[in-house]
Parts: sequence; C-alpha cells; structure tokens
Amino acid sequence: MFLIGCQGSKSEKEIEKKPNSVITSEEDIYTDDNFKDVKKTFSFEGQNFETSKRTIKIGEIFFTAIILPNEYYIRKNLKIKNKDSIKSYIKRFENEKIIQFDFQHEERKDLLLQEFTGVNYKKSVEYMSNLIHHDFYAITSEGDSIKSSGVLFERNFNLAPRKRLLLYFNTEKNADKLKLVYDDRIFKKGIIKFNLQKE
Amino acid sequence: MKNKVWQIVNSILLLGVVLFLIISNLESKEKIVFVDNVKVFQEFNMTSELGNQNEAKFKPLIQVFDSLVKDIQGLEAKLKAKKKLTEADRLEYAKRQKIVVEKERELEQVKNYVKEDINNKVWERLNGYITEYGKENNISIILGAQGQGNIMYGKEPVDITQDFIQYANSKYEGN
Repeated sequence: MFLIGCQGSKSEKEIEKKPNSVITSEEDIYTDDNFKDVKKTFSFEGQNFETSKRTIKIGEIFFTAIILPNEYYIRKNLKIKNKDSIKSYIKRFENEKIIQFDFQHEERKDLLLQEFTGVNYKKSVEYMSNLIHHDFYAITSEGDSIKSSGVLFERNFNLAPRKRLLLYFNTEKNADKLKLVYDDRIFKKGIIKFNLQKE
Repeated sequence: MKNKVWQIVNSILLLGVVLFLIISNLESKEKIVFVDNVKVFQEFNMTSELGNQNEAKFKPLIQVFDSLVKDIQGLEAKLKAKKKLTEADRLEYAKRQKIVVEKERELEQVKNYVKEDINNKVWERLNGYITEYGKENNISIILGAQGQGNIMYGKEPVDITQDFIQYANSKYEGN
C-alpha cells in the first residue's frame, strides 16, 4: 500500500504546499461544454499519461473521478526520478488504485462555503480532511466492495476553483475496471456512481 | 405555347421544393415528447436505493415506537380488567399515552423529512438527465405527464418514458 501523503502525515503537508500540485490550466476547469469528456491526459516532465475520467453534473456542482496513472503519481507526487526506482514502485503498487476526485461549482464558487454545505467553513474543511472517506467505496469487476484505505484532501487555498481529494484503494488484484460509489453527504446530492477504467 | 408549359413545370417543381423544405424544417424543429413523471420516479434506481438506505435508518425509531404501543396496549388491557380505576392509574395511562403521541409525531416528522429529501435528490438528478437526454436527442420540448394531468394520451414515439428510464438508470449506474 502506498499511502504516502495520506492524512496527517508529513508528506501530506509537503504535497499540499507544492505549487505544482495546484492546476490552474483551463482544461482542468469543468464547464457544460467539456464535462462529458471521458479521456484525460496528464503531462509531467515531457511524458504523457492517458487515463479515463467521468464527470457528473448535479445541480450546480461538477463531480469528477479519474484513476490516476500510477507512474504519473509516482513521478509527480512521490518525486521519484530514477528509472529503476520507478519500475520497482510500479511493481509494488500494481494493485493500488488512486482516484483523483474533484468537486467544482459551475460558477467556480468556493464550495466549502456554508451556503453549499450547511455548516461553517472550518467544519466543512474538517469533514473533507477527516470524515469524507467514509462516504466512498469501490466495487471491483468481480463485485467485491472495497473501502477507501485513505484519503488526502489537497488544499489549494482557492488558487484553483475546485476541491480535490486523492482516494486510495487496495484492489488486491490488478483490476482494470472499478466502480466508484460516493454517497454525498456534504452537498447532500445522494448516491453518485462512476464507472472507471484503467487505460 | 412551349414556353408556357415549361413555366408551369418550373413553378410546380419550385413549389414542391419549397414545400419539402418547409415540412422538413418543421419536423426537425418541432420534436416534442413526453415522459410519465410518476413512472420515471418509481422506476429510477436511485429512488429505491435511497428508500432502502433510509429504511435502515428508520428501523430503530420504528422499533421504539412499536414497543411503546405494545406497552400501552398491555396497560389498557390491565386497566380494563380492573373494577375501579384509581387516580394513579389514570395518571399513568395519560403519561404513557402522551409519550406515544409524541413519538408518533416525531416519527411522522422524520418520515416526512426523509420523503422530501429523497424527492429533492431524485428530481435534481432526473432534471439533469432530462436536460442531457433532450440535448443528445435534439428534442425541443420534453413534457412531464403525471398520469392525471395535461397529457392523457400520446402515440408511442412521443411517449419516451421507457427509453428515458433506461437512459437515466444507465447514467445513474455511472456510465
């Protein structure tokens, strides 16, 4: 399991403060015109990593789930540069799935404001940081349900219009397909499902 | 004479082309369909899933209420068997009856809240899917029939209820 950067750890704080973890490019801002795209390409240090994504718009909020390519995560978030180390990390983490989960308001408003969550800002941040992982689970293609083994709330201090979570799942087998189920209690939108596929 | 015949033929052809354009234009613009709201709501997977989820939450409250009702029924039977009721009996019965009424009201409030909550969540989701369905199928207007409302009958191609239910459930399941 590679929960580096999970809640409360030193690495989380390091990741939070890295300026390159805040994406502000227009392609990462969801609109009514682009939210149905099902492919996503991550670029890092001259390499492209393609993956599948699903965005669902409910009311005024876009919910997006993307399986992060492991190599991209290892290079970008874990800062591994040596080729052999990358290979060994890829082998070690082949059963891990990291899902990048974004929330974004259609008018790019701060979703943690009381008008959207019903509780004060501090409590919303606490919920996103400590409790939200209870609201997620994944279903493998064999029908097994797995709980999230950890979550990282990537704070960007409003440098980007979205709120981002990194969800960690240990699938035991290297599953190509995964259904992510989110029971949204913070914005009260109910059950939201995402069929995700590893490229 | 020959020129006149040609003029008539040309006019007929031109008229035909104009009519064809008008009709095809009308057909493409006027795509109006309807869905049966009640059926859509009932057969949408989210409705049953939220219902089951909330039933589990209700269970403890219902169990408490049921035991209180049993309790007061037991007391009633006991009091009926007595020849004369004391003031203490009356007070005890009134006290328990008050608790039952309060719990019943509480349960009703929770049920109403949950019902409204499910309605809001389900309709918010369905409204989004209706918009997407309309755009994807180039539909001008999607009307909502409620079984006893404005639309009493519609030809099958105009009634898209089943097709929309399939679409909404597929979307809900993450596709």
